[in-house]
Amino acid sequence: MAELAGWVPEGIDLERPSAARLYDYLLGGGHNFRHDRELAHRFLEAQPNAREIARHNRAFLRRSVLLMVEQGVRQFLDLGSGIPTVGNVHEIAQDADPGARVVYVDYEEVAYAHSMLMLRDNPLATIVQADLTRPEQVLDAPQTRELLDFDRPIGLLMAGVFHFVPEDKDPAGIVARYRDPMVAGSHLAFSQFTRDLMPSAMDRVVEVMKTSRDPMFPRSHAEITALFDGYEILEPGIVPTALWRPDATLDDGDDPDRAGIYAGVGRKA
Amino acid sequence: MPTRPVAPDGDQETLVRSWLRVVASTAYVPRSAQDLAALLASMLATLTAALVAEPFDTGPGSEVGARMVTGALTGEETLSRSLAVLAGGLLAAGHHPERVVVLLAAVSSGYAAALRARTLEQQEDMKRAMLGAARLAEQGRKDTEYRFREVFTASAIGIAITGVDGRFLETNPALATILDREQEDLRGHLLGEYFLDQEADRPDPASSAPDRRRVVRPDGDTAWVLVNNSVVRDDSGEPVYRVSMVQDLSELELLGTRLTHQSLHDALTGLPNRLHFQSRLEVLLGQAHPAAGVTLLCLDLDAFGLVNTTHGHAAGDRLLRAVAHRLAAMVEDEPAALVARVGGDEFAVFVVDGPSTPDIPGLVALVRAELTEPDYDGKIGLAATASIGVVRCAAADVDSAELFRAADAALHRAKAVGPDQWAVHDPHVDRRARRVGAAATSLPSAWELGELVVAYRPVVRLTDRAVVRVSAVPHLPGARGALPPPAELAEQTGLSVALAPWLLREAAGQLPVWQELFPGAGPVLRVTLTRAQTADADLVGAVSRALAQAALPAHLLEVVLDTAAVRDAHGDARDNLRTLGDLGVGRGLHGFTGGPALVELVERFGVGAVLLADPFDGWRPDWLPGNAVAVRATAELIAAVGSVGAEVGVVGVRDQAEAAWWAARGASTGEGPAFGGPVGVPDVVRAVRGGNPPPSERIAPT
Repeated sequence: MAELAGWVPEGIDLERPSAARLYDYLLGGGHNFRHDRELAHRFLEAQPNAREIARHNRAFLRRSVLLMVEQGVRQFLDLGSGIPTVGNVHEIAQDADPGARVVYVDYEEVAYAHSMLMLRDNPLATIVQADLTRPEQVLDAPQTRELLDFDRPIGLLMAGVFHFVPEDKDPAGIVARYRDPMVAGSHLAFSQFTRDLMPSAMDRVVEVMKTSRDPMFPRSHAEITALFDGYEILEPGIVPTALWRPDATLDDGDDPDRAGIYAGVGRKA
Repeated sequence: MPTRPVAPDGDQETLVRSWLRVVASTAYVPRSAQDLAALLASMLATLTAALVAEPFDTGPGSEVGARMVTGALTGEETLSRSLAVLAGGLLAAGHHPERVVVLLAAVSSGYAAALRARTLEQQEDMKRAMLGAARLAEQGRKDTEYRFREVFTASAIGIAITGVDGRFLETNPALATILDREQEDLRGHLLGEYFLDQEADRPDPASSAPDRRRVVRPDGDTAWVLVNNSVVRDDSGEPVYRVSMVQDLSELELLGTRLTHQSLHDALTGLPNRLHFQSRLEVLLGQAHPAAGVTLLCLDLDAFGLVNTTHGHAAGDRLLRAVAHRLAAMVEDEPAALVARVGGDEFAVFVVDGPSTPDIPGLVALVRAELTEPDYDGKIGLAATASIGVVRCAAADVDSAELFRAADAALHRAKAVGPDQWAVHDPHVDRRARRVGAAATSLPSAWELGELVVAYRPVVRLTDRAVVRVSAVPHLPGARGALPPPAELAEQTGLSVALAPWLLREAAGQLPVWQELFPGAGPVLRVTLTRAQTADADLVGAVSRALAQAALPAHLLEVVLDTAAVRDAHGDARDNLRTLGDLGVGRGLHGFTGGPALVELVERFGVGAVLLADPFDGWRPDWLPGNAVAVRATAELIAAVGSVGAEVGVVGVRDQAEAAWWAARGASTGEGPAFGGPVGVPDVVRAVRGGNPPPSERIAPT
């Protein structure tokens, strides 16, 4: 069988950097490997604000979860959760209400195994290893069915992940297939890279990420707004992450347009 | 004489605000602005207090550095910019400049140390995650490979895997048959070499369109074949392998019909094979009246290998044919019956019970009578005995797979007893065996994933119910149902030997906690070991390493070995018992049943404690009459053990009444449900401090 070693599908490929570990590195985490850091440095060359962008996006995730908790949402489906760094959804939500339930979803093997380890003592949070572009795989997973009650509102989180979904995978259809089984009062928090704000830096980033296992597809304001079909977009609309309900006292005076990512939250009518 | 600060509380608030801005713009901190401000104010207060404290000490500086790391104030520039803001603010407030510099240097080094520790910890997490991921991937890869291998070898179509140069890397048996060559001779050759038309090297040999070619066989015959090629590419799109499929057209039709029979019947005996048997079974079960009884016997010939090796394979084959023939003849008169050869020397007999079908012992007797009748071919008479597993139930109650599995399980039980035995399927025993088996085999992965933890049970002094030490046990939080404890499950798979060093190391790591909690003279931690662990040659090494790591005196630890292992001098059990004593470790024996030889052993080895095996077979001792023989014998045993200087402990104490009974009989210590556990360290500490028993295991909410 030795000569077939390369013929059958292989498991983990550490030579290929992953977006999850890159994001962890940008946020100052240690859950990454040499190839991820090399990619991160090329990413930083292409987009020197990458650390701020990551920080703003993470902060948006936190504020959107807190808003949903305020709106009575107690269960969350976090798509493309990556490697848990700081301020994970279950920490934020369970801090607000210890009964909050969280299902994380990631397709990457190491992210999955790592989350399994981190969540092993938390009966109300779990991870599903699935591809978020195949909603049925996520929604019909036994862990999802066990933890989430689809008769009550669910907070669907797609923070900084949809830019990995190419056009040919029918992005609108994907969002709709998550939206339809959820009841009115469910929320969608969404953020993704755009070319509208810093076009040349974005083009360089797209080029850099082509070599990773997660190439990127930025979207315009209009394209992102269209994905919120069936949701009532909450104030202040689809805006750069730093401008989405900022925590006034934490405002660091950066030019918010340089966030590079659009963010918004919608409520299913 | 340090300079007094001009404005001790100066512009504390302004400084916090500046610091907050720096942190917010350099790091992602998962808290509200208010929380963050409070954290910064508290750290600033620590620093300003340290600056005016006498004597001056930089400890609080390192502590603030560490708190920055735990608070996630770890952006790339967070430290340097924080120090700049703090230096400015503290100097402006009039603090002693030299102290400010030294204290902030301590913040910086405390930060560095904590960050390094956190990074190492995260890298460690990653390593474990990788290990888990690799294991899952490996499993998936094996499954895929296995499925592929099945298709590859069983296919009637010739398959060749070739390198990009077209030379064979691997071929399946069917290809060798089609080409009429030995499989080994093909390696390294080109498929084209075996074709008649010498345009073998066409410009596009990897074309995916099917291609009719003529194969030349060694004897000069030719045959038409249909060839399909496809290319396997790597991630970057480069071709790495070619796969060629070769279909024998001339034989295709013929093969079709022959294949059906061949794939369903055993060539040697002509009986249905396992696959066919299972599908026929399904049909027969479906046709039977739902209330009709059905019986399935699975037979495994005893010592069949011996027939093969002593009389040759031809004799073995003859015996198999004879057995097949006789079994088939035996059920000839049954209206619905089926005999099959389901393995090398395994047969199955299925009967839909009719009015004349014998009962189970009768049926088994019939089979045995048939088998033991010798079969002569002139020289030697061969006869067989068999182990037999039997299931009888209503047709509607089972499906074919379940029926087959149940008979197989019964067969395994029969075989475990010895040759020429039979057993009837017992659903209760079977269900439990399956559940326990599943739990035992999933334990290694639970351990690897860190789900298996060390938990603790209080050990109490029975006279006053004071907790005097804890007993460390492997524990699987959230395990449901009445399963044996993990230590027992691990013993079934052999995992327990690997588990012992981990158990000892983890438990010894907590020794300082127990030493503080139990200030008395005796051992503070009990580790009970299984039979395999007791006999393991590496046990003493594992104990020494665990103690060395904890850097505490050996007498704090009590290692309780398996009595039977010591009694039977199993493996290194006796050496271990002796050497542990030399190390100064407290020693006990569990599962102690008494008897003069064992009591003598306790004295000879200077064992400190014996834990009794339950002398009452599960009965509550406090409900037994005081003059019952078991009660009297136990009292004598306790006295005998006491007379050689060992204390007597009991385990599995159910409640306080039972504890009182044992106390009155002179037992010293007890553990069990009455005293709570197994739980984590904090729960034990809280319970001992509070004087309450700790909770029993916490069940995760569903």
